[in-house]
Amino acid sequence: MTSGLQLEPAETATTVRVQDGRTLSTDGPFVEMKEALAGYLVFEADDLDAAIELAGRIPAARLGGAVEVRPITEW
Amino acid sequence: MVAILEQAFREQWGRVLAALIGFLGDFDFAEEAAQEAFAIAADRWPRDGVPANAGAWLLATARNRAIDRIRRDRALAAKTQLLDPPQPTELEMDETATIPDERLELVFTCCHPALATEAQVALTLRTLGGLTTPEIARAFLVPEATMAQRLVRAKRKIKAAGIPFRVPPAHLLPDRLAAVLAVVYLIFNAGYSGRGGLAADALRLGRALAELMPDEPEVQGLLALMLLHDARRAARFRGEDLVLLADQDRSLWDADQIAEGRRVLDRALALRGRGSYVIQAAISSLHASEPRDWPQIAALYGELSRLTGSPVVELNRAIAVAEVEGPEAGLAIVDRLQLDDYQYLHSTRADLLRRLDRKGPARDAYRRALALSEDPAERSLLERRLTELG
Repeated sequence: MTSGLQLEPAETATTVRVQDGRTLSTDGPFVEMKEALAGYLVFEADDLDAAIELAGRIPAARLGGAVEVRPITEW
Repeated sequence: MVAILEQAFREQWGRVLAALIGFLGDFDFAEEAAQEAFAIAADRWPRDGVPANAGAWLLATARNRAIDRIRRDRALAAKTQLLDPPQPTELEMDETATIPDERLELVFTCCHPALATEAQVALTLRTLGGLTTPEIARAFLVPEATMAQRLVRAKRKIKAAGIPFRVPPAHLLPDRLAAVLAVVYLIFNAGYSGRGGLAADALRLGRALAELMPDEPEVQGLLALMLLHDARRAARFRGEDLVLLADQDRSLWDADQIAEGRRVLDRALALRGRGSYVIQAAISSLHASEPRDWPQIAALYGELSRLTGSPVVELNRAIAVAEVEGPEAGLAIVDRLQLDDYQYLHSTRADLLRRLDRKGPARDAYRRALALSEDPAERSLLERRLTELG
């Protein structure tokens, strides 16, 4: 095994999209995730606002897709 | 005494809780400590009298309780992951101390866009508004267990996802402020259609925000709007029946509150406010004058319509235009709108058709509105209109 992380439950998720240069965050997971999970990135951020700002810079969020922000369970 | 306690509770809860969350970094822990302090107050104040600075007393008591608990159970600090472990020293009861006001931090946390709107509403009423979970559940007609679960989930998310406890930085402020105002307005609207308690809660929240953000025109605009609408509360119902603005007994309007609403509106306008709440407040202020300046009302609705692109606003513009140019002109606007599932589209159409003496289509429109309406007072008004048509 080379990598593994446990995510917090889906109800802690926030979905980030960028439309016309505005970063929009909404409550809950990205529903289409099941069909189209394109990858994941692990970031360290001070709080959710910082994480949303990072997510907004990911191209997928700007190109009509969405980035789901989910906390990782800390042990 | 019960009344004094209740008043202190309403006035101080939000402020005390906000300061405790800032201090302890944990919603549940802060809420428990606040509850304990209020319980001690309920026990002691009737005997010893209410302290001069009730807020500072409550906060010091709650902090000392929280510190006691940390002392008793050191492991708790690790479990709750306190952001900033407090120094375990007793705080002096300084009755002249001003307590830190962190209610703004609290309201921005509760109305963070990462929380569902219904969770934002529940959390704001619980924390800042000082309502109990059963009270909120009753107000929104959901089972108590559902509301409790909603609050637990929201608090869990704040903690797990790391929603910050702070006033957002300037580049985020406009969007975040809009979310806060939307929550307060939603609470007010839920109260406006009959549940009086919620309107008073929304007004209290609006006043607190206006005091905390005196230079934000939309905050003042929202307060003005709520004051002006609420001033007509006593005239809006005759028994169980809804009374439309034109038929209301003006002696039942609260003249002082209308004057206050207009003062707040003037402040918003002086701050160069031209946002949607300010415009709505200006419209409401014009509605409170006699004779009503319909051309000006129609123009403001036009402005609001450009700003929001909302068909509901267009519907209101149609009503004003009908007053200026006649029902035919109003009907022309109404018939362009795509709002087939909106009861007020049909009740407005019905009224315009009735004034044009087109009885058949008017009857159909009233029936369509009735089919969409669930509110008993509104249904009874529509039924009366339908009967009058014969």
